[in-house]
Amino acid sequence: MQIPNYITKIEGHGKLKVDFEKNKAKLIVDEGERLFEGLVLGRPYYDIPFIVSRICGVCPTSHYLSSLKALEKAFNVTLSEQSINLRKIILMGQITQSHILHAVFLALPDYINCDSISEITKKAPAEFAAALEIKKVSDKVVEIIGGRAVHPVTPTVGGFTKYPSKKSLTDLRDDLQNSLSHVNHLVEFFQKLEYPKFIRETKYLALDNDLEYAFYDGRVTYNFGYSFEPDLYQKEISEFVPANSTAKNAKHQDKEFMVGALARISLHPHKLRLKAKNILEQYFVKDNFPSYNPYHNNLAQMIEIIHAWEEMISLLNQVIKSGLGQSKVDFKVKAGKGVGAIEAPRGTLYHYYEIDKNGIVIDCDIITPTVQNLLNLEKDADKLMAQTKSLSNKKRAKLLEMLVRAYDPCITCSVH
Amino acid sequence: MSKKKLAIFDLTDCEGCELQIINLKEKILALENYFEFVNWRLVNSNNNPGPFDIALVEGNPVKPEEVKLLINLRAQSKVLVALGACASTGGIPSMINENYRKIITRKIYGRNYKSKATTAAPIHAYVKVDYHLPGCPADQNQIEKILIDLIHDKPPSSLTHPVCLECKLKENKCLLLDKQPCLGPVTQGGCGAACPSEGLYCYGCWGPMKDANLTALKNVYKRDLKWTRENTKKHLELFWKDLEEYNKL
Repeated sequence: MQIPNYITKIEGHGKLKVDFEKNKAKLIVDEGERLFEGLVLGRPYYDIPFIVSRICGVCPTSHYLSSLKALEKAFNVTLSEQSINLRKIILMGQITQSHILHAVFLALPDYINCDSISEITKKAPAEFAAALEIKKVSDKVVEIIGGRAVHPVTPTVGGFTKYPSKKSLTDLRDDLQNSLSHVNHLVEFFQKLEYPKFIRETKYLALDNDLEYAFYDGRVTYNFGYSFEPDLYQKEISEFVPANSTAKNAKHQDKEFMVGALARISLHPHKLRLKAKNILEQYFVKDNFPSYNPYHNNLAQMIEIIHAWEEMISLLNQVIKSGLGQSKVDFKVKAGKGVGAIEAPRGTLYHYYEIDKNGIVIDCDIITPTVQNLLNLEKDADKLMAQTKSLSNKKRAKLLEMLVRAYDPCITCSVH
Repeated sequence: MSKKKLAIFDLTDCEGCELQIINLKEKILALENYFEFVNWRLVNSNNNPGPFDIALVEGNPVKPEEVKLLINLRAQSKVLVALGACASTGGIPSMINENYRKIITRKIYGRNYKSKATTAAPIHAYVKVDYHLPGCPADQNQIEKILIDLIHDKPPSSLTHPVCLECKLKENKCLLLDKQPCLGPVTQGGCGAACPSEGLYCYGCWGPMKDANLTALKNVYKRDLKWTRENTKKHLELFWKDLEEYNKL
C-alpha cells in the first residue's frame, strides 16, 4: 500500500515541500480541522478543561491549566498558595515529559545516526536508560498530582478535585532527587552533540516574572526589556490563515518570532537554577549568546529539564512543609471573560473564554505555540536552503528535517 | 516463533494513545521480542508499506485521503484494532454534526476558507474493526493485555462490567450520590475507574456498557440534578454522539 510521506518523528502530520533548484522549502501542514474553538461553544464551563486538553496528547496538561487559568480569571477566583505550587509542579512535570520525549526519542536519532527506539538503545544505552528514568519520574509527577500521566483529571476551577497525600509527595521528591544523576548525565551528553552551524536572528517571546523562571504565570516579554500583559495578546499577536494550510500562522508586531525553550533560556537565563545556569554559561560563551541557532533548541530543552528538576524538588519541599489541608476555594459562577497564558513545552499558550451568567461558554480563542513558530520556521528553512547550495540534496534534505524536528513542532496543536 | 509485524497508525487526533504505548517504556523493549514495529511514523523513520499482522489505528479519518488510507490499511492487515476513543467510538472531535461543523469552520477560519475535514466518525463507520481499545486515552494495561493475547493469536476476552463496579471495588465515595453527573454506571469498565478515583465524575470515554440502562440514569439525573433530557444528551455528546445509545435516548 502507499503510505503518506509525512515527516517522521514529529507530533502530527506534516510534509516537506522542497525545491532544490529555487532553494525554497516549506513545511506543509496536513492535519484535518478539529475545530476545538467551536466544540466548546454552548458547553458548561466545567467541561472545558476536559475537552480542550484533547487538543494534544503530548501536552494535555498545558491546555488543561491554561484553560483553567482563563476560567478562574473570568470568575475572579484566587487560588490557595498550595494549589498554585501544585499547579506549577505539575506544569513542570509536563514540560519535562514532553522535552525528554522530544529530545531523546524524536530528535537524538538525527545526531547519532539511527532510526528507531531499539536502535537508540543499542547506540546510546546509558543515555536511553537515563531518558527512560527521566520520563518515568516526569510521568509520575503528573500522575501523582494530576491523577493520570496523559490527560490529567484532578485540576479544576478553584484548585484540584483531589489533593495528593503527603507521603506521595515525599516519595515523589525522593524520586526526583534520586534521578538527578541521570539528568546531569544526559545534559552533559547533549552538550557534546554537534549541532549544525546555522544562525538567523529573530525575536523571542516568553512569559517572565520577577520571582522565578516563569512557566505558570507572568508578562509576555520580548526584545530584552519590552513586555505586554497576556490579556492583551489579541492586540499584540495577529493570526492569519495562509493559503492551503489548516494551521494558522502568527506575527508579533507584523514580524515572525519564536517561542519555546530556546526563547525562554535566551530571555531570562539569570533566572535558571544554579546547575542549569552553569551549563548554559559553560556552553554558550559570551558572543555566542543569546543563540539564534534553532538547532540549539534541543540543548535548551535539556537545560530546562535540569532547571525544572531542581525547581520541582524545591517546590515539593515547600508544599510538604506547609501541609495540604483543604486547599480548594469556592467561587460563584458569573458572566465574564478571561485570558489564561502559560508556558507550554513548546512556548506560550493562550486560551481565552467568554462565559455567560449561566456558566455557558459563548466565545473562545486559542493560540498554540506551534502556530506562533510556523512562520519563523519557514524563514529559517529558506535561509538554510540559500546557505547550503553547495551540499548534496540528500544532505540538505536531512538538515531541513533536523531543523523541523529541532523546533519540536506539534502539528496536532497547530490545527486545533 | 516468528515476530509479528505490527503497525501503529495515527489519523487526525491528539496522539495521546500512541503516547500511552511509548509510556510503556521498558515494556516496549520486551514487546520487541515478539513484535517487529514495521510502521510507526511517530518514532521510526523507515516505515514498511505492509502487509501487517496487526495494525493499531488511532484517531478519526476526517479527510477523504484518510478514509482511503484506512481502507487500504484494513486490506493490508490481518487484525485491525481501534486504538482509543476517537477510533473506537468517535471521541471528542465527533461531538458536532456536519452542519454545525460548517458554521464554526467559518467562524474560526473565515468566510473564504476551504475546509479539508468533512466529518469525524469512529473507524468502524468505514472498515471492519476486529478489536477495540477504547478510552481517552486508551489504558496502558489494556494495551499490554491485548498485545499479549495477539502474540498467541488468542482473541482478547471482552470485559463485562461497568466503571461503577471498579469504582466500588476501590471503595471510592460515590460521585452520583454527591449529585455529580457520573456516567460510571452505564460506561464500559476497564480503566480502573481512572477519573472517579481522582474525584472527577466519569465522562463515558470507554463508550456504553452492553445493555446499559440509560433510562434509569436519565431519571436519576432528572431527580437529583434537575436535568432535562436535553441536559443529559448534551453530557453524553462528548463521547457518544455517534452511537446508537445516544440517538435512542
